[in-house]
Amino acid sequence: MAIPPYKAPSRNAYDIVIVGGAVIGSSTAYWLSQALGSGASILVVERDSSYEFSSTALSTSAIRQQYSNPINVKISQFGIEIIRGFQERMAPFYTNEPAPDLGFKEHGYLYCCSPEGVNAARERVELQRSLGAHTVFLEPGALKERFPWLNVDDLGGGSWGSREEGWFDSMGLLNGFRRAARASGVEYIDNAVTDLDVSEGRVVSARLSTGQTVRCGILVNAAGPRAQQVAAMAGLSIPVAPYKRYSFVFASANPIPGRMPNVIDLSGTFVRPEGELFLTGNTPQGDGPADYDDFEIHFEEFDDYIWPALWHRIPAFDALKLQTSWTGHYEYNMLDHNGIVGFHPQVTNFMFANGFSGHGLQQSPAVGRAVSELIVHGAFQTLDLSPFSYERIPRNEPFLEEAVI
Amino acid sequence: MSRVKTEPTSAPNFILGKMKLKILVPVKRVVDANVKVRVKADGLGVELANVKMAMNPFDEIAVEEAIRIKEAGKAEEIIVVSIGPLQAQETLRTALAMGADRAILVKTDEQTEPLGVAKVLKGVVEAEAPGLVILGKQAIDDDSNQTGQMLAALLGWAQGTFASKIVLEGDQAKVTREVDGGLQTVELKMPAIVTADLRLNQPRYASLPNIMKAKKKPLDEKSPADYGADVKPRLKVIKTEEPGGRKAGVKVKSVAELVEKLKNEAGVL
Ligand SMILES: Cc1cc2nc3c(=O)[nH]c(=O)nc-3n(C[C@H](O)[C@H](O)[C@H](O)COP(=O)(O)OP(=O)(O)OC[C@H]3O[C@@H](n4cnc5c(N)ncnc54)[C@H](O)[C@@H]3O)c2cc1C
Ligand SMILES: Cc1cc2nc3c(=O)[nH]c(=O)nc-3n(C[C@H](O)[C@H](O)[C@H](O)COP(=O)(O)OP(=O)(O)OC[C@H]3O[C@@H](n4cnc5c(N)ncnc54)[C@H](O)[C@@H]3O)c2cc1C
Repeated sequence: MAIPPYKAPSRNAYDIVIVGGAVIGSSTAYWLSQALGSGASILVVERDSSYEFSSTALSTSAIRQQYSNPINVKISQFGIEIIRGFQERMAPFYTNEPAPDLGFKEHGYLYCCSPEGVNAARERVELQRSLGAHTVFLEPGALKERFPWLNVDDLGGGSWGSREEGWFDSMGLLNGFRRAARASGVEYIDNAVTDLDVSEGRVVSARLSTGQTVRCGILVNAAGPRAQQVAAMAGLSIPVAPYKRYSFVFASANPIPGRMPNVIDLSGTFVRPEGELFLTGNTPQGDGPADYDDFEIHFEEFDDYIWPALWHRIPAFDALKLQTSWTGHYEYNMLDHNGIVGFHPQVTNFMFANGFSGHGLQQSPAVGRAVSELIVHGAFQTLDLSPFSYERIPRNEPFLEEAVI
Repeated sequence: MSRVKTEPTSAPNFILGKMKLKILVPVKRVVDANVKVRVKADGLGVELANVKMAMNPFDEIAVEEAIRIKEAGKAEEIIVVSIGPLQAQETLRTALAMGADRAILVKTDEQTEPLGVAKVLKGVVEAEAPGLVILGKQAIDDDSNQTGQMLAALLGWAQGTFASKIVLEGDQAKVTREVDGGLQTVELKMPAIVTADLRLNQPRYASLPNIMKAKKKPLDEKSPADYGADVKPRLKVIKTEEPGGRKAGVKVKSVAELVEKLKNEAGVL
């Protein structure tokens, strides 16, 4: 896919300029446009609107309630609300055609739990249930009964979300938000932000790759894995870098009967059905920051690590054949693999919406709304996302979330 | 170099009653069938850097057929051979994991062509004396559909191409061939060459335990010179082009308009 030709913006000043028009940028644009109507001018600058290398397009696109921190549970609950009601919400923007159905597959997540981890897992399940989630903790016997294909010999049990967890269409979510934002007056251009002019603690303008300079009231960084490039343009620094994740789709000689959830093995390998095929991935060996343009895949990761782990956990996976694979980038927050949402304290009109690591897709509805609230009202109105504020970064205080994948 | 013999070159050690049949299966390492190939910038070939490679699908079918013949007690040994770079070992290991007994890598970094490959295979046949060689009907990379036929000619053996069924009886191989509009059954006197078509069987997936075990199966490394063959390319690629993109569709408002377009624009009515 080629990058579409760049275009100049229609004006030279905007109230809000958003850098990056994938799911985070487009959700932000959508919520802002709904809150502000046509009273505000909003520009979204996207360097590659084919989205070929965006995290959003390359995501494995699942949503779960199984977090250890209440705020993450609530963010995902809002994600579910948006996914379920998406077609209806988008209908006004699709007058002569059906609005996107996100194809939500509500198969749940099954987190395998080691014998040592049982108490902590039970506590997490209790917390999730107290917030209205449908997670249950299953002892090995019950686990085996429900999922007879699972090897439970070395497990202390598993936590299973029977509802409101599963996977869906990431590009459908992005396209819906984008279309609704544009229909509500947001301008999207194919172009790249190459530099920012900062004066007296404010970003005054953004420079574009085609030479124009646009003044801005507020600048939103929604550049995904390239977030640090944009932060650096304002002389700022966040510990966000691209981390490679390989996704493999395989066929199995033996089918898995029943409604298979997204299984998270003790090894960190996940596997879930994808039609007749299966999708899997893990945290690769030697994980660390990658080059922005490095999408090279390592098949050894499947052969030497993923398959043995799968075969151990699900013995029916003894005869497999790879069908397709791809590499995507997590926009990885190296401090605590959680998002950074909020204004910078010194460059006060620079807004972060970055670093969501492996769960930015499901968080995009809540994050876009939260960013819009901060811009429009100066404070969170619905969910309080202050635990994700930028201030924890220089203080080096990680946000604690045990349930990472 | 290319001495064409018309007499079978191997002793008839495949007599089925004595359970001595050896089957040779040549397997080629090609771009995985699921990969969307891209033409290299210089237009002289396709991009192979960091592209997933796999066994030619028709060769998987050939390996599977050999294994089924052996499982039915009609063959004693399956030898797989690949002519290609060091990495073709992976392809051979896959065949071993499926159930072949031993492997030969005839190592070359040349771009192999059917005639060169057929000459190497002739040497391998003379050294190994199989009673049956099962090849794929074609490799999905260059789609030549020549190697099996050329090998049969070089050896002077009978050939059954595009096989959708193989039945062995005594020193006869009955091969059902897929021909345009139907099936044809030929009877070959072994030793013989068979090339596998798509519907011959559904190849099994190599299992992880068998992949582990296959690491210990014998894999010999040879060179084309060991078989007195020269694999230098004789063909010159002038141009490689991608298929033209699909044209955008049009919406028609009525059946009448559709019929009109089919008649006057598509020319199919
Ligand atoms: C393999 C994989 C699996 C994942 N699985 C899940 C999952 O199961 N659940 C989940 O919730 N999340 C998952 N994620 C994470 C999720 O996909 C991301 O967090 C989310 O898509 C981030 O969206 P984004 O808009 O911030 O980033 P992106 O989608 O990367 O978008 C950033 C955009 O900014 C543009 N841009 C960058 N720099 C500039 C510039 N200077 N000027 C103009 N434009 C610029 C880029 O072109 C890009 O389109 C996964 C990610 C990957 C890679
Ligand atoms: C082992 C092997 C043997 C082969 N043998 C032959 C052969 O004998 N003859 C031959 O012609 N080709 C053969 N092929 C080539 C293979 O069939 C080609 O991939 C195919 O013909 C190419 O079609 P395509 O390019 O349209 O792509 P494909 O991906 O195969 O076809 C996809 C087309 O169908 C549509 N489509 C796909 N799935 C669906 C769906 N579920 N519902 C609706 N539409 C769908 C897509 O939109 C697309 O237009 C063989 C390939 C292999 C690997």
